[in-house]
Amino acid sequence: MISLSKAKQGDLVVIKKIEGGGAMVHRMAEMGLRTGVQVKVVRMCGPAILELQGHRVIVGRGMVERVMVEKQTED
Amino acid sequence: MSDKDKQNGNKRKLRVALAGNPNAGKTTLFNALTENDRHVANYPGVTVECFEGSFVHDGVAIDLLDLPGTYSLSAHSDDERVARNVLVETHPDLVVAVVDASNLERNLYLVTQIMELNLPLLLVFNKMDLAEDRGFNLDAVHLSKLFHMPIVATVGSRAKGITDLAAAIVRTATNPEKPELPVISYGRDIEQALEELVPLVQTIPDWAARPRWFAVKLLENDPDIIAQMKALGAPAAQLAAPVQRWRDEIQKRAGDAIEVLFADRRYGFISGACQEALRVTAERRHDWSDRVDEFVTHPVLGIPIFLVMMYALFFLTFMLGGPPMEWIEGGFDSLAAWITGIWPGGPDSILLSLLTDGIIGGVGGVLTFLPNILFLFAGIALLEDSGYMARGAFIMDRFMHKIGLHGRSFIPMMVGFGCTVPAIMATRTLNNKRDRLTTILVLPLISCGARFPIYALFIPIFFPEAWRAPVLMSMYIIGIVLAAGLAKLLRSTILKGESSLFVIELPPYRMPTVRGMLRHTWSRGRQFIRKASTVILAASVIIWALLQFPAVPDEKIEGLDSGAAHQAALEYSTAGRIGKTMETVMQPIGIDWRATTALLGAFIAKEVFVAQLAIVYAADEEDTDTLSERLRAAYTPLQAFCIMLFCLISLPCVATCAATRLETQSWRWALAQIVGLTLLAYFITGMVFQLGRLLGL
Repeated sequence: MISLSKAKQGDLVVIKKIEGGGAMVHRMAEMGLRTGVQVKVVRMCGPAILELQGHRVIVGRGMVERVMVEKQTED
Repeated sequence: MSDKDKQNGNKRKLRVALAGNPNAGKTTLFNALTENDRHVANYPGVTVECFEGSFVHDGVAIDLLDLPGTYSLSAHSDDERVARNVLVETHPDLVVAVVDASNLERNLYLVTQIMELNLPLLLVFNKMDLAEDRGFNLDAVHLSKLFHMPIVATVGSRAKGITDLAAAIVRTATNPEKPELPVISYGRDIEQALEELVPLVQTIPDWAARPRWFAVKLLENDPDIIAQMKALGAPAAQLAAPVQRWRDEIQKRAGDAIEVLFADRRYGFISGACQEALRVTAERRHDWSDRVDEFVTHPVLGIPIFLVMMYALFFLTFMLGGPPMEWIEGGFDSLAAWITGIWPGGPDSILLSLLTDGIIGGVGGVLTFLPNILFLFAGIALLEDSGYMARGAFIMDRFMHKIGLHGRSFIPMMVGFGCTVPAIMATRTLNNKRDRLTTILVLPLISCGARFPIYALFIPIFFPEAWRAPVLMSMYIIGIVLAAGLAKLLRSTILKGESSLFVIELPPYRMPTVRGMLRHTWSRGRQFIRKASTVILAASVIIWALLQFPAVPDEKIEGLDSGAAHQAALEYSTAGRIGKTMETVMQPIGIDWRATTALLGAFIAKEVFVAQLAIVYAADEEDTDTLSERLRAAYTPLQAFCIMLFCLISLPCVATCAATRLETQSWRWALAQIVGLTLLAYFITGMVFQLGRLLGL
């Protein structure tokens, strides 16, 4: 398990844990980001752009570090 | 439809609320349904606006309310609060949930929360064309059965399915049988808690209509519902202990935040439904929007693109806003001249002076900026509606993070170069209170358009040609650096706290509509006129009185020309006396009593400083040559720089204070801003002046 900030552009990752308070978990869930969801890292330069189910979401610099993910090997 | 239904429908207008995610196409559908009959509905206490409209279908009149676009119904932002309160408190006859069919799972998350409110629901699958393009195969009939609610498919952008939608709204809203909506099961632990809590909630009359929803909100630790519980007193307050006990128990058992459990179960329900009724037949192709983003969101290329966009925004604002600005200015001048001409009491009347110098001068001076502000708002609406703003926020997030803010704060900062008042209003897009407050407090440091006349007066007088641009630039840069430093300081001291939650959708680019832009521009422009002008009116009168009273005795100005007489009158006035009294304090920072007196005028609006200075120096306002010569004789370049610096940092104008008061809902922050910034200005200007003198400047 690594922090999302360590993921690279083009990586496919699965969200494992969101290390934040209830408000952060809630806000992420609103945007469809929750544990078990697979996302593609479209951009990573401090803040990140993630793609899930064909839609893109910006995750700010301050939150990227608090999302724990597992890299998927593309098959 | 039967005759009986028609009679029912005719008895009263049916009230229907339109809910949905931002970017789901709600407003397009609203516009298509209601044609021309629309107006803004305001909600007291919040700055969120809803649009209301009506239409008639099959003889049934429907009142349609367009709720703010939200991702859920928590109480995390004003938008969500308004949407939720309307649904909970006004009991609409029907809720129409607009869902972006190309992004089904996330959009249905809101639907699961509306379901819990137990109101009749109609689902609209909008953007069906996009969903098909992306290879989504939706079985609407099956989904309709799983969700126990009718589903209509539409393509709002091409006005497809609007008649079907109108018919379905009327049919569902007039249907006397209310279908039983599915209930999401939250798992053994939470259900066990609900079993104990629901009967307790049922004993509270205010909550008895929706016991399960209130119990769920209590477990979610919803701040509004908790506050309601406390306000309701005895029977409700007894819930506090068991709610807390269950929250602790559930989080201990699950080893996770309770919010995670609720979100998982809601999404679980959605995934279950989608697994049965949604098939994806194609991989997502990269469309042109993604290809544009290759450049626009590029970590390096994105920065110059962003700067060009911002430059274009300001260039257009000032270029297009220039001529109407002159018309307004000319209009107010003519109005003042006309009133003076017809005034019965003659040109020396005090009441006339109040009207022309005080009210028309003050309020007119600020309203002159209205064209600029409207063009700026239109430009921002264009950037927002086209989808660029989200990209800009992404690009700037890296830098804003360093000063403890996030990408979204950059938008108000940019607006601040035009005018601080709309910039403060633009902070509403920030959902974290501390971020918002920090941004509001530092915003006056961003050099606004009204400071420009001050620089334009001083710089050519005191600096040689080659120095002018760098000096002008330095004023702007000093402002930006101070704003960044102060933001960082506030975020690590009194406004310390969890960095705010910056997760936003990156919507595909789209063509903005004229109607949408007008709607955004007008709703903000209107607030500027209404809110700013009332306070400015009052302040203008006060400052005018300070400059006017006590009136200089006639014998003192006998034999003086009109310029010298004005000067004598000003010196004699309260403002002049304040200026003189303050001189001992202001001298160490290089500012004399004349500039100090003029600074009082700058409090109305920054550019009034120039007009005041002209009066203090007994120069004709129109005749800048005299003023230039007298200023050149009175100050050194170092002093001129210090005066500009002090104007930049100190004393935000009255309209800014009013905006801060309105947006923070507290005089305390508005006062803290005035005092804090003025002290900062004193300290910095003093340092510059003393250091400059040591260096022999």
